[in-house]
Amino acid sequence: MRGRLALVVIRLATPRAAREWVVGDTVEEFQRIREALGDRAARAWLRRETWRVLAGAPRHRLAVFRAARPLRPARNRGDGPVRDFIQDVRYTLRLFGRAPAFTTIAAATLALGIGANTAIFAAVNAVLFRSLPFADAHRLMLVHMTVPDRDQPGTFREGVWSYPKYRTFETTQHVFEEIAFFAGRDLDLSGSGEPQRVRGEVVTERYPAVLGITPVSGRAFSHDEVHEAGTPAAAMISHGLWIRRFGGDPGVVGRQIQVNATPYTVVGVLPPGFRGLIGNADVWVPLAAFEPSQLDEAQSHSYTIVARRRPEVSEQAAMAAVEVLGRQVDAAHARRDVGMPGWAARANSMYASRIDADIRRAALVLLGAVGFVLLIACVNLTNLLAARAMARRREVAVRVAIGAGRGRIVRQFFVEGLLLAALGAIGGLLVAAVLLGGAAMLLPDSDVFFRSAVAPGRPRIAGAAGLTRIGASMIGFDRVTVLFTAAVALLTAMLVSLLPAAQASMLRPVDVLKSGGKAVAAGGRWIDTRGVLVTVQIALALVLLTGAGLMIRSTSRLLDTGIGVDPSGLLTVRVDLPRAAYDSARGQAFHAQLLERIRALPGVEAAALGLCPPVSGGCNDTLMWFPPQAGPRHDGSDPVVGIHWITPDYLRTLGVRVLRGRNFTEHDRAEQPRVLLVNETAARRIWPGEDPVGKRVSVGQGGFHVGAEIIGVVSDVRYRAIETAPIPDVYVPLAQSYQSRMRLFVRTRLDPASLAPAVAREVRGLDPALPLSEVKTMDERVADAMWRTRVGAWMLGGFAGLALLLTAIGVFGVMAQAVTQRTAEIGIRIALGAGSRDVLALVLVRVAALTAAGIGSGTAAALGLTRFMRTLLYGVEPGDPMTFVSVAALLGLIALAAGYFPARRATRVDAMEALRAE
Amino acid sequence: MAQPLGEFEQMVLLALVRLGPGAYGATVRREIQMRARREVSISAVYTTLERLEQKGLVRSRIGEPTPERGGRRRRHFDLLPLGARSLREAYTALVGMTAGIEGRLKTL
Repeated sequence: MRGRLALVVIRLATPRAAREWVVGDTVEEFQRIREALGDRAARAWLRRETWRVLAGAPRHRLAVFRAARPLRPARNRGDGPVRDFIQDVRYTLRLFGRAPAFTTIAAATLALGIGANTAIFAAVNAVLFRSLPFADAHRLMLVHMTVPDRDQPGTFREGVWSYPKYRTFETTQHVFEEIAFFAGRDLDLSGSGEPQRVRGEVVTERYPAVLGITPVSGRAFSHDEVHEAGTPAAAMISHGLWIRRFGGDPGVVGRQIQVNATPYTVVGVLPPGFRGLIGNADVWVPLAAFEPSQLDEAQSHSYTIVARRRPEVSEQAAMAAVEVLGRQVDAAHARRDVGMPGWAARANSMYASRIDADIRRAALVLLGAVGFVLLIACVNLTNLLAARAMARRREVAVRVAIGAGRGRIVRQFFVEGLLLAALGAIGGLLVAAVLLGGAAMLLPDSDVFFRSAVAPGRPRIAGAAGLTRIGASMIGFDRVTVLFTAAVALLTAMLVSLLPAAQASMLRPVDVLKSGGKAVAAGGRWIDTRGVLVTVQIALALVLLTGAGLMIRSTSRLLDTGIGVDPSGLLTVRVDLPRAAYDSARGQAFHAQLLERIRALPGVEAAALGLCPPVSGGCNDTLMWFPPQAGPRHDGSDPVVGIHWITPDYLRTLGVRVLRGRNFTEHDRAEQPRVLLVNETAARRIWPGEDPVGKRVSVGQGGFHVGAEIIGVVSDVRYRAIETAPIPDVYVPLAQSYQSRMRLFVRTRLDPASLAPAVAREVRGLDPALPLSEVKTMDERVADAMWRTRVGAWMLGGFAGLALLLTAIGVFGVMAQAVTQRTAEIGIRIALGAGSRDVLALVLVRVAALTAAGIGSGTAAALGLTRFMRTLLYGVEPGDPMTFVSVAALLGLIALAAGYFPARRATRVDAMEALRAE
Repeated sequence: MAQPLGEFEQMVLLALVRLGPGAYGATVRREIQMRARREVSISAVYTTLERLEQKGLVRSRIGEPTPERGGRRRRHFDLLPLGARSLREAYTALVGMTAGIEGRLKTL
């Protein structure tokens, strides 16, 4: 339990008058213990103290209450709704006190249900509903280029801008009052303190102004710093980095930091909590200093525009204007090396693009599922309360007989539900706090998350991806979440008290008093209202189970999908050589030495370098063309291929097979003829029915436009995502085309994670200033790549398990009650010669009837509802018969098992005893 | 004749005697934990002190806010004559009941 939460609990449990000193003393004592015995001991003490306070709270309050009113006579009763209400509350509390086990179970059930709802709502609220933390956020828009989608001709996907196109757009537009662009980058921070890899953004000068924020100290970038190459390099840092790395030094503005081994002067610190639109930035750098080559690269697209609409321009007007502008921009910049005709632009409000459609869908599905769990819990509670009301019928009858109004009786039950729900809500907030604390573990590594896979044909919006970040820090209790919890509790109270109240208000005192208060009357059918409720419960559970089953099937389908490499025993590490310190000769030498050192480590079987790890969301793409054609045609007829730089051992290290021809060797060096490999998909699509080995092709990157010979065909690897089919790929030797940003792949017999420190040591041994990042086993990468499906399966599975348990308890409770009520009838049957088999059947047939009805209606509901999950599934249809049949069978078995115990008890009814009691 | 004291009330009053003027909830708790080896919550101590105050056995005054408590004030308690008498009576009763059997109590 966290310290702050503990204090809140103690505060709430303490009478208002004593809060100040009790909480003050607790804080003081906590500090004292921490100084004397350390943080752990202090936390342990605070935890115990909290439990003691909670355990003692009712008693203490009562004691103070008594002491304050030592001898006052009982207050005379009168009318008035408030007094009635207080009386009802007191009466209910006495009932609770008399049945502590019931109260605890009921409140705990509700606490779980309400807590899970609160936690999910907190997450949904954070990602879908809560307003963005910017001034006038509704006027913020993201502007993308729209690019013809090569996977689906005729459709467009959202792309990013190049600097010259941005300038054209910026200078010709009239609908935005402020405009800027941003793009996420990995930055190596060094100089003061440990070298560190951080996320940063390349931005233009008005970026903070667009979002309505101003640096807390220093200033934003100047026009020249962004647009003029050669201007001294400036940087802004996040408030968090300022505290962590610079100890909150008030003189940080003006200090030098090293970004990618280049000196930058800190000119500003941005406000606390602001991490850029990518969601995790710590450093901001201006374009001209960081990427001067981009200043005149009209076809190098990398940036997302964020802009603030003029107040007098409507959203629709802005969107329309942007569409026109986009075509003008495209016309102004003729395409040279990449792409196809028909580029344009589109603006979306930032709210619309803050989260991708699949995650929004997943969040709503989970919210619905957790609502179902609460409904199921409510059914159980209703049944419990109704059973208790049954036991209290005589008392109720007496109250009605001596003049209590029906309204008063109904209200009494409502107060009971309300108090239970209130207890449940308090417990639920604690449950939610615990769940949200654990939520961070379910989220993937942010680095992968930003490039995480999306459904085929729906590429992630490069710049807006940060807005989808469901960082654990974003999720928490706010006013809306607490209000939601209160509303859920109120609804719960109404739901659970409805049936008992209705039963009690239909009571005829004469009947009850005549029958001696025994629970025989009122129809006494086997399948009464409570049976119907159990049917509803089974139906709800079936819907949840089906959803969970579909997610679990998707997960196993993903696991079964080969990604083309053997992920076990494989470690990946990102090694980026700063271009300022390493030219291509030094870089090549570094790579060779590094591989040699890694291969010498004990337990290492193979080591290699490659540009891009599998299932990481996509790699470099370029165009391929064929001699005698001199260059790419840009009309969409040249094939697009992924391009990968590798060392010769790469294939062996990852487990990629050479299908035809040969692999690269150490002889394929810069001075030798250029060679390349293609994957199976490329061979099949580009040279159908032919052998590509020996053919000459050109590719648009790495100096291979001059042409190279294909020397082999290798098996496919899924570089984008597990669920995305492989695209045509080519591999080129790193020795023939130097790249500075590479991944190291290490194949080992040992646990790959255990090798990480040794690898880090070797890298540091070669260059102590190099930061390592993305140190991950391939298994972790695969897990990250399927995190959404996995988390969905876990959560829906958890909810479904809970629902199953609650339903089993529900069936058990209702049947046990029915058997008790039917003891006399069963006794007569036994006396008349029914065997235990017959009695067993008598009860189980009823259970089967309820279950069948529940499964039937549940299946119908599930067929309708699981359609909303279609985009979350992989390799399985929403109406998958296998899943439906197996969950129905599972639920049926559990329900029958739950009904079996009361049924067996029925067979042991002693006929004589039962009849005598009658 | 004062009402007889409960056991916890006795411990709290004894702690006040030991601590002298200026005692407050946290110090009383600490004293009871160190002397009687009993873990009690601060809020239980205050509940008892409040009850003792209502019975007229102790008196309280509110101190100044201090930074280490996050600006919260302390509430200090002092023993009143009636409290001293009650404590004396309790002690006398205990001494009377245990006279001559101290040794046996230890080995019981």
